[in-house]
Amino acid sequence: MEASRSLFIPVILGTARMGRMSLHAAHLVTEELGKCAGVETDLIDIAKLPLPTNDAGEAIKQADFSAKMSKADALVVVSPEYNHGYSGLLKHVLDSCLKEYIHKAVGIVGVSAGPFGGTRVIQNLLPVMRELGLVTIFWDVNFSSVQKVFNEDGTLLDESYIRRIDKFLKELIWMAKTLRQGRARISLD
Amino acid sequence: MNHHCDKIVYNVDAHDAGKTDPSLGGFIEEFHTCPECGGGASRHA
Repeated sequence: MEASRSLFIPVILGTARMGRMSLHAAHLVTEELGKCAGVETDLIDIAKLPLPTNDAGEAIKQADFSAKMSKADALVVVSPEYNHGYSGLLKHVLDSCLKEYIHKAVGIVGVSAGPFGGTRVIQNLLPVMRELGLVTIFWDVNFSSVQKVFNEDGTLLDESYIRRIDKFLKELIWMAKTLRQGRARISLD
Repeated sequence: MNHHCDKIVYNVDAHDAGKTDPSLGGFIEEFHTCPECGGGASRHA
């Protein structure tokens, strides 16, 4: 039965920049998601998606990414803040799907070297998520001064993030379960 | 299939012009989900 199927909540790492500290944040969130009962996850690194850049939108849909978005009940987007915005490649990847996202939950993890923890990139991503048909939750995770949160090999130096991620994931999972029921059972008509 | 969403799609291609609902300025794409497997599908209304 649909209700007994595990939730699938992939984590999208939204940067291809060399030396990206967001990779450590994405690994941590994926690891914590993997500990949640009834949840399957996967880390999707946009740097590894073979999307062309001579076109855009659903015309460049990539089969494996599309299949994962179709299977997903919710998404986590881990995004660094570059010049107050998200990476162009993240937008390019997100725009390659549409129907795959409709009425699914999304939580955003902001990452920055400065003190604001990606709050501005999160605010910039919210209208994009809305237009894609995703339903945003009201918990975020903000990795401020990320170079002090992880050491170079990705070891977490500040355990307080575990509790913040736990609260974020609980809200995301609740929304994912609720929207799964809504998609399957509640009609517009 | 459960019909749970309508989205307006604004035409950018000339070949879609005939599908436009003049009262909306675009056409409606319907989104459906299977209650059993959770699989999704869409179609033009």
